Amino acid sequence: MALIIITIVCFALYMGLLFLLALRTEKGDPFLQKCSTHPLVYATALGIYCTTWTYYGCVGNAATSGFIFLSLFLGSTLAVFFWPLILRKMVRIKHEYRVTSIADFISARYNHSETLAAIVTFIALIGVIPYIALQLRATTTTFRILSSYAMPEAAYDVTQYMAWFIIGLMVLFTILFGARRLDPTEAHKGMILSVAIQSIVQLLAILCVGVYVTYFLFNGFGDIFSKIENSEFSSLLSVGDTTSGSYMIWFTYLMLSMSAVMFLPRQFHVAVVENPDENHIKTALWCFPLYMLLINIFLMPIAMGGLLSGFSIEKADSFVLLLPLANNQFWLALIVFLGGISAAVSMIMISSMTIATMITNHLLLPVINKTNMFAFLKKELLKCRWFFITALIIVSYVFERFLQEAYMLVNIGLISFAAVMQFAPIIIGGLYWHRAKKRGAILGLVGGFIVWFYTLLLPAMVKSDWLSMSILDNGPFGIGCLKPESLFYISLDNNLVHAVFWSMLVNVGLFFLGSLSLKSTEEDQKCANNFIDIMSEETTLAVPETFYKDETIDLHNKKDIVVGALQQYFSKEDVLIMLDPCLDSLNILQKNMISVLALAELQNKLEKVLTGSLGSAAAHQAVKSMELFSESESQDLKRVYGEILSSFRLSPQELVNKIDFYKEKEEMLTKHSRELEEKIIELKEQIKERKLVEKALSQSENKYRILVENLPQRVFKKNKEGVYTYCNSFYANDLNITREDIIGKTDYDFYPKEFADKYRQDDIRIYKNDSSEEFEEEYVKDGKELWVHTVKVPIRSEDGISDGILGIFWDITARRQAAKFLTESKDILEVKVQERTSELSIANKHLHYKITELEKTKAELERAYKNLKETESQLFQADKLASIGQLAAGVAHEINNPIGFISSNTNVLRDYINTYKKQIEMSRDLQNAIEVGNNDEIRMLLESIRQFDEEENLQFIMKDSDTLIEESKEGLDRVEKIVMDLCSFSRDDKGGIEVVDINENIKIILGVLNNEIMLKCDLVEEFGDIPRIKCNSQKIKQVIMNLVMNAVQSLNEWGTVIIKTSKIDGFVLIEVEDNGCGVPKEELIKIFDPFYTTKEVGKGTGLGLSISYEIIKRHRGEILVESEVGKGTKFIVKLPIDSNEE
Amino acid sequence: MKRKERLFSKKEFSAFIFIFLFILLNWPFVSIFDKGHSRIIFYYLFIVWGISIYVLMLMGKSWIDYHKDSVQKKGQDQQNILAE
Repeated sequence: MALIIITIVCFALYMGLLFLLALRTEKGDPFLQKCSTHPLVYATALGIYCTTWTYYGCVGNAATSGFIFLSLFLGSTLAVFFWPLILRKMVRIKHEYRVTSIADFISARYNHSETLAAIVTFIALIGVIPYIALQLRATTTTFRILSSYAMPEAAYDVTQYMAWFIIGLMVLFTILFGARRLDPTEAHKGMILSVAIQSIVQLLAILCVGVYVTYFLFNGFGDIFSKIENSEFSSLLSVGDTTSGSYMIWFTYLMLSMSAVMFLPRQFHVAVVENPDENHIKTALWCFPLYMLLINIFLMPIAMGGLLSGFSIEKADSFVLLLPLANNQFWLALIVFLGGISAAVSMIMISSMTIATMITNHLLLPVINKTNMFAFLKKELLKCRWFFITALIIVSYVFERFLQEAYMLVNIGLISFAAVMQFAPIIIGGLYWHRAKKRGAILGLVGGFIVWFYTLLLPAMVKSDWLSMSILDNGPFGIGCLKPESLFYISLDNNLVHAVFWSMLVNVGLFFLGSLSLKSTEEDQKCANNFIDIMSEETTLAVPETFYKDETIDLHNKKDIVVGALQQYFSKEDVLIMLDPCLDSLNILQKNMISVLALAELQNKLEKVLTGSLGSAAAHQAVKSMELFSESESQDLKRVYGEILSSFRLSPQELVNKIDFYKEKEEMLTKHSRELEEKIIELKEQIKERKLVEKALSQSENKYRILVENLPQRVFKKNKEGVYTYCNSFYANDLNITREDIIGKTDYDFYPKEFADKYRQDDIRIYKNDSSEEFEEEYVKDGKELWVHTVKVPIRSEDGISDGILGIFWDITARRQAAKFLTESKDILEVKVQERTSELSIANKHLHYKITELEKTKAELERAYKNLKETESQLFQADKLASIGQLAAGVAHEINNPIGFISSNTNVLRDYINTYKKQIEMSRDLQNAIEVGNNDEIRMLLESIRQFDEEENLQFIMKDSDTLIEESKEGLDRVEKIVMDLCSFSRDDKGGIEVVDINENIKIILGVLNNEIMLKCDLVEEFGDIPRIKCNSQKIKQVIMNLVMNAVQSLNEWGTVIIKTSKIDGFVLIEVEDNGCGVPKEELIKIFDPFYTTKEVGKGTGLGLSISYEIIKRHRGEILVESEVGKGTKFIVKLPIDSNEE
Repeated sequence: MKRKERLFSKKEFSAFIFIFLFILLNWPFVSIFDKGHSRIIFYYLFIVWGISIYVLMLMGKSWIDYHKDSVQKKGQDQQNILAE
């Protein structure tokens, strides 16, 4: 349901938008008015040629017959090649004769024939009703498809209501914008703009669905063609069945479309009646064929896409809509629907408006005039037109409901084209053939129409089951040679080709025969000339003014006749509104009496004006029936014409020649006058520009004058003779006279002679040198000194010669005085500067002496500093040596122990070895005795060995030897470790920074100090997980050793020393804590002072902590101490993790 | 350029182009490309169509210019008549 509502809302919004645009255009919106008369809008509106038959029907045609449908558009494109000749001429005629429709056009050419106009109207009506029905069918069908997609159960009902809604909307739209005024020649700008928009929407919609099918459902043209080539539908890639018959159909379609694109009533209306400017055709020449190309380019892929997607060929007319819906593209389908609606609405609007105008002017009005039965309707022509518009659309809808799926409706497009083709010979003949006559036109048109009806429409009716099939099979009344589809036994494969061939043969034949069989009347000739020679410049012979002076006819009387005659068509007010501009254009609006020539011109003018409302035939009849000329006036008119001719004093042939000559001459003069007008416009432009320049100049001069007048400087101008021509008010004020008194006089009139002479000499010199000069002069005025700066410039005339002087001077006394004051001040300043300079020089010398002294002091200080540094270094070294001394004692003690027991063991082992030696000797003797075989000796030796073994207890010695060796090895290992620790500790200090593991360093120190510690305390080690830091390893070890040694030495009895490391806030902490004697609080502040010590004399240097403090400070760290007497001391060293030694 | 415009402005040339294109879009030319079961006919028809539009565009451009030229050409004659 929602989708149906969306569809209806979108449709209503779209129509509303078009309505609004058309309304605003009609109301005179400047932008939209401009748009509506744009050449592109005109060209796009011609897209009305593409109706729903193109939009939906051609896809169906393509799905069944291949490319043959393209001929309908290719033919139209070929016809456009004739537009510069034919369409342009028709537009010119329309402007000249205020043509309202194609019937009016044909009627105007053939002696304003009402019969011809009625026939044309009848044929157009017969052709248009089924065509409108077809548009309504397409609209309702597509809406039903769309609503079935959204709500299948209610689709039918909704469509019925929607159909009437659309019909109502179309009637309203057509009346409001197409038939609001009686004169249909007035441009319907709103309607044309909306038609152009609808054409664009239609094009965009078909392009959208084309792109979707070609590039989204398939992979482009190549893909579709490949698939279709390999499918059962491959025969569609042809213009038919490749037989000669299909080419005849192709040719016929080309010819039909060539005539249709110009002579279909709706095409004629848009292309000719609504043409605002001949030059728009130039744009339409390429734009309209391009439009057709674009709208057709995707039709074949859509048809093929539908077939390849599995849709049945019977639904081919709806492929455009079904393909998006089958792929759930509702919005695309909605756009397609709106495109289809656009195609239908614009066609129905223009066709119904045109046909209604034709019916009113060429069927209804002649009937009223002839029968006088419905005379009252003459005044209600506009309403009649509205009625016919409504009736036409409703009848078409009823026709559509009645026919259902009849053959005729399906083929109505081409049937209509064939009907319209009947207009082609009489229109083209009428435009280019002088001997084309009314009778020929009527005969040709009627003959062609009858054959068309018999060979095309009748078979269509039979195939729609309205008539018996026997007419087609056996001919009427069994006459075989009159079979509608094979007349005279000539069968042309295709019924349309057959019908077009016969109808055109009869039409053209009768037209020629009918035209040639009669002699041209004066009226025929006049009409032919007017149409055929329309493109030549309009020329009229100038009638001498004297012929207008004979004013004997009462204008009021004639006005009454006109008003009385036209009141049967219009109200009195409307007639007067129409009449006054005619009178005004002839310059007789204010006159009471007019000449017979003026009356004749009035009659012609009125006929043209009425043509716009009633059509040319009815207008001609209406004017004729007025009987504007009385008998005597007609005689007068003839007499005046005769006099005019006789005034030329020419023979008829000479007159014709003269007329030709003057026509040519006037044509040239007209063109020359146009050129002159262009020149005048150009000159006017130049004058305008010049005025602008003058204005600018004047403004500039005014600015200059104001500037000069208000300058404090004195400005003057003199001519070559020294006479003042200008001076500003300040100059006049200086001389105490008015400016007017100065102008025209010389310097001699105001200044003493010597001054005037000087000024004159200056001026002459400036003229001579032709260059400006400036000078400063001193005067004495009222006893006061006065200085003046003067600039004089020669004024050059246009030829470059000096012919005057422009002078400007101003008072510079103040400046002069200031300069003088400045000079004096400068002298005083110079003296003062000199004094100051000598003072400064002395001070400078003194300063220099001081600086030398200071430099000496600095050198001494530097030396002292260097000594201090050396002392500091020595102190460091001394402290280190002291530490090493202490270490050495400990180390010696440490090494002494293992060395002692190693030595003792070695002595014991030496005794053991001696015992072994003895036993070995005894064993060697035994071996010799065994070799000799001296048994006694063997026994004796064995006894000796046993006794030796018992005495020496060899079993014990062997066991003890291993123990002693093992102990000695342990002792040596211990010594080796001590030596290694000592080496580590005393490694050369290269002062380098390295990444150091503090925990490892502490362990080395403790290794070295092990002996010292073991003898005095328990050592507690609490090493935290700390990062390696960058520092001087040797110096940090020195600090740690100092702290540990201090802690150990502070213990008076057995105690505990705790060494702890940790990491806090970017620092590594080393804590050394003891529970020794502690330091008094007052002593704590001195603890880091050099040479401060609490140890006995000779036991410490007093530098350890001081140096440690210095080392830690250089590492950007700090060393803290907490101590309490009797409880112990705690040193905390904080070292930054990322800091190097300074 | 001017020569081309003059050519396109001539009625005879327009007629020639029309006949030429009319032949191209009829038998036997269409049958040459209408091989049946082949896409070539599609390309042929649309290429000829495109060419037709291009020629029409040139005609539209030349049409007005031609008339301007002819007016200039008659300028001398006008001067003579005016002198008369």
